[in-house]
Amino acid sequence: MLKSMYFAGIGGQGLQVVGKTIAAVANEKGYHVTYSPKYGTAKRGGLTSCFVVISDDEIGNPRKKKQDLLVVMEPKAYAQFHHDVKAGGTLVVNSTLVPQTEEPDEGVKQVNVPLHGICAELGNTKVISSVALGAVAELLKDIFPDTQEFLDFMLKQLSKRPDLLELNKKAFEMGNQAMLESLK
Amino acid sequence: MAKAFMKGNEAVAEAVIRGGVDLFAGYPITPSSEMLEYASDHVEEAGGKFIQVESELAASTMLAAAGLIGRRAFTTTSGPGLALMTENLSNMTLSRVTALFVVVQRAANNITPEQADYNYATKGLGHNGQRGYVIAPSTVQEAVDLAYTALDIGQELEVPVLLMMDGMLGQMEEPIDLPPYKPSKISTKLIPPTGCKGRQKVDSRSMPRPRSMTESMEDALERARNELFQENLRWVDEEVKYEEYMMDDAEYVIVSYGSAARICRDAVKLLREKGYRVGMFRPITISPFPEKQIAGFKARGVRGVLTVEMAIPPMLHYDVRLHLDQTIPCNFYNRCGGNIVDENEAAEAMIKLIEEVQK
Repeated sequence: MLKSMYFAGIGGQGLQVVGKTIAAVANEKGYHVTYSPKYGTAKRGGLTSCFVVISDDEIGNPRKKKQDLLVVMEPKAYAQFHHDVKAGGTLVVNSTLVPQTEEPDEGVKQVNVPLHGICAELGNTKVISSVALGAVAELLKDIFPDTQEFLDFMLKQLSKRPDLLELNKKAFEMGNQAMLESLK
Repeated sequence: MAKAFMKGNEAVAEAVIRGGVDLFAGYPITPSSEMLEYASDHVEEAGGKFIQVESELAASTMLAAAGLIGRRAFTTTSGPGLALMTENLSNMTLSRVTALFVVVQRAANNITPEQADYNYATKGLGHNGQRGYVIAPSTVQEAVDLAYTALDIGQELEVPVLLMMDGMLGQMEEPIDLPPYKPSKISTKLIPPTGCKGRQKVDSRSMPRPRSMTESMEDALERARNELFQENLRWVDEEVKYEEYMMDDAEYVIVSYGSAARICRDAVKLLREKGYRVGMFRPITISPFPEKQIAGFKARGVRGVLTVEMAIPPMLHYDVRLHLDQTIPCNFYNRCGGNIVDENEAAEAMIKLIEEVQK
């Protein structure tokens, strides 16, 4: 088993948190895993992305060219990377910010999920990472059958901010629900 | 129990601390800054001193000073910072003073990963042509293992040690096992340059004096240089480290180091699946360079060599070319600017080389 993932967007969209959480949970389960962030000089607003690779075996390249799972958060990331999905892979598009897309490449499944729309419903864009994590967790069930594991890990990370627990839990669940809707 | 899941830079800092260290002095620079940040939290907890200094020059001066009194010190930087540290590195190599410099390499004028400082680290440490002990890990675990013992080796060989990471390895996270804590140790080999209280005044190492009435200044210097050169030659025989991957029956060999090599491991697997007898030779010490092992490729029946690095112009390539039998074709596949080498492209470059050889 080898699964390569790439999360691309701009700084502040919570992508590093999503990638790190998936990688850390994979590590806890004893998989070989790499997390490799890529970012420019701008903290907020600059293009940022991260690669996660999970495998049963030793991992060579932590930044694969073609992905099993690609998540694009905004139009520039979509334009730059939407061809980087393997046949049989999945492209997740944040449809709130990327309303217009082309036909996906052959063999690629495209799923449009209004990730920022959910944030708007919750009235807080800072929970975008929890929303995205909830959505992506649904697509990783072949490795992590129980999406609860991600939620538990995230809530553990947030344990010093009990005031944020409920909001993030809700965000995760709504993200997950939205993905289920989109997959129908 | 799950392994620790740590960022390369932080894992290296933790490993150096666990290996025993008295001082961290450093100045931040992307992509190495997490190491400084981590050291600021943890060096003093372990009994050492942490100083964020005003410049790279100050950092390297403090490392040299610590080394001169036999203490263990480390810093971290990237290419532009390494350039500023050269003033002290130059004198440290000649005076045989040890300290650990962790170089998280980046592309010139950008913060993206590259293996840009190969020539600098292996050949350009000083105006006096001396060599450091330069090691290059290809995984975070290996970086931890090498960082843990780097100062032991430095103190034993009396040489500055450079641990060559790159932006990708420094920033990425991977599961690791951390070694146990061990105490720092004061080098007993060190000869103080001007003598210490209670000890007899002894010869300066960077500026040796004549030993007799008949030995001139020039002869004294030449003697000291020759001694050090002989020591460098001994390292080539005894201190080189390398890894061979699927080399037993290999007719074609990829030579790569650092994080490019971990990607080439995948290229070897791809090529083996297609039936090509390909292996990988990975220098772990890039100075001393495993030159005798590369010279030995001919006798092992190697028919072609491909070098792979994240740097343009190629640098490792010319070291391989120098020591490889001149009748063996040697190509390179390099990427730079922050573009990571790719296993599929490396495999293609190797197939092209194999076709050229078999023509």
